[in-house]
Amino acid sequence: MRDEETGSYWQQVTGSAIAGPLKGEQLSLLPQDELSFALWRKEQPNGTVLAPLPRYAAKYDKATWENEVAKLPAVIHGTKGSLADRDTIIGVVSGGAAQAYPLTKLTAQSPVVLDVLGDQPIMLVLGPDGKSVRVFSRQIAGRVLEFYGHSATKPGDPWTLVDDTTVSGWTFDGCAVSGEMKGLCLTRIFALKDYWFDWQHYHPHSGIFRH
Amino acid sequence: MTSTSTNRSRYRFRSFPAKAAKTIYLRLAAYGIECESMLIANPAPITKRSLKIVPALCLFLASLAILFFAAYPMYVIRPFREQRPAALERALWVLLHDKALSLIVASLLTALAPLLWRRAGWIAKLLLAPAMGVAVLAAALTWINPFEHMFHPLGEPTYLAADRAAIDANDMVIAVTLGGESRAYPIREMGYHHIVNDRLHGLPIVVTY
Repeated sequence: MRDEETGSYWQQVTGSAIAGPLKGEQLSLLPQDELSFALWRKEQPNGTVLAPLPRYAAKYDKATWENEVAKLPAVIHGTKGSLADRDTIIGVVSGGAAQAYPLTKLTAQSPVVLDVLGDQPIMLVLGPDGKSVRVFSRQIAGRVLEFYGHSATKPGDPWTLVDDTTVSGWTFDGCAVSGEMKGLCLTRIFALKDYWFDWQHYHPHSGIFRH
Repeated sequence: MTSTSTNRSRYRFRSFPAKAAKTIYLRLAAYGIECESMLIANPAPITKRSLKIVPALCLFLASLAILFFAAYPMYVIRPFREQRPAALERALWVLLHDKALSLIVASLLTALAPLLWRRAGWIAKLLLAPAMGVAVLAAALTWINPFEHMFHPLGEPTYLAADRAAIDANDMVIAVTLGGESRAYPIREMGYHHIVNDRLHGLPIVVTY
């Protein structure tokens, strides 16, 4: 990215200026989500959507863009580890440790992945749409919770997320809606959905989750 | 060391045998090119066509050098290709300096070339004309980044209410929520425009994909 005011060049993934008058400056990353449109609309019925420009609508990506992009060559070579360059991962950084969680580890049958990363107990959870992923700290009110859940394997199945310790029910938003924990919300942890080659480029010491 | 001296001798142009009274140097030290031209005190039989051939050749090479300078970042920073850190650093340095440098060289060149032109033989003229053209082209190229024109910028963003947007339920969006205000950026739109400068809950933000 280049800014028009100073002509500095910025790295998209990290938000830091790598050349020009603002070299060394850092943009602050805002909390964000990568969600299916249906799920976002359900959570944010009053939200607004970026309108398409009719002039360029024909040039926008097709609905099958993910399959097309997956065929493109990776632009960084020498990727190490057991994953293919364009395997989709959820990248998490916590307590100085980086870990890549292959998206295939999260399925409707088993939508929760529990881990401890950089001494922080964390949870990855697949949303009710079977596409969106959020990451939370499992540490709340002085306790570390163990979660389990299941997602819709056929339409109409309810999506549930329950913790073993207090048997409270939780939403995909990370807030308890029933049980002892009702009213409390877990802390969100920033996660990046990325290709393995790209994630590894920015986090050369990243591990790969294997359980 | 050896390779440097070979390079030098390859680009050393001596127009006439050493009968010289006066020597003009034009050095392009950065490129290891050294040009010498000699004015002959007693004009020996010089054919008219070869007049000013060496300075003309030097200007021609200088114009090629700045063309290379302008093209280098385009070569390194082209899509779907790995950018090695050292090459990227050089390319970014060139991008930040090539406007000024190529403007200086192009102005010098277009000022010097007409001065030479009057006394130049036809071979020199054959070099001077493209030298001016190439220099102006290179200076113009430094103002253009073709890859910034591959995707049309979105400009001022406009919005639709969540229930009025024609987006497939399964399409992914980048969602940003600030102070109770939430906005969705459909990835299929972002994959084309790549960058949206926006404002949410009073905060200037940039969304990229």
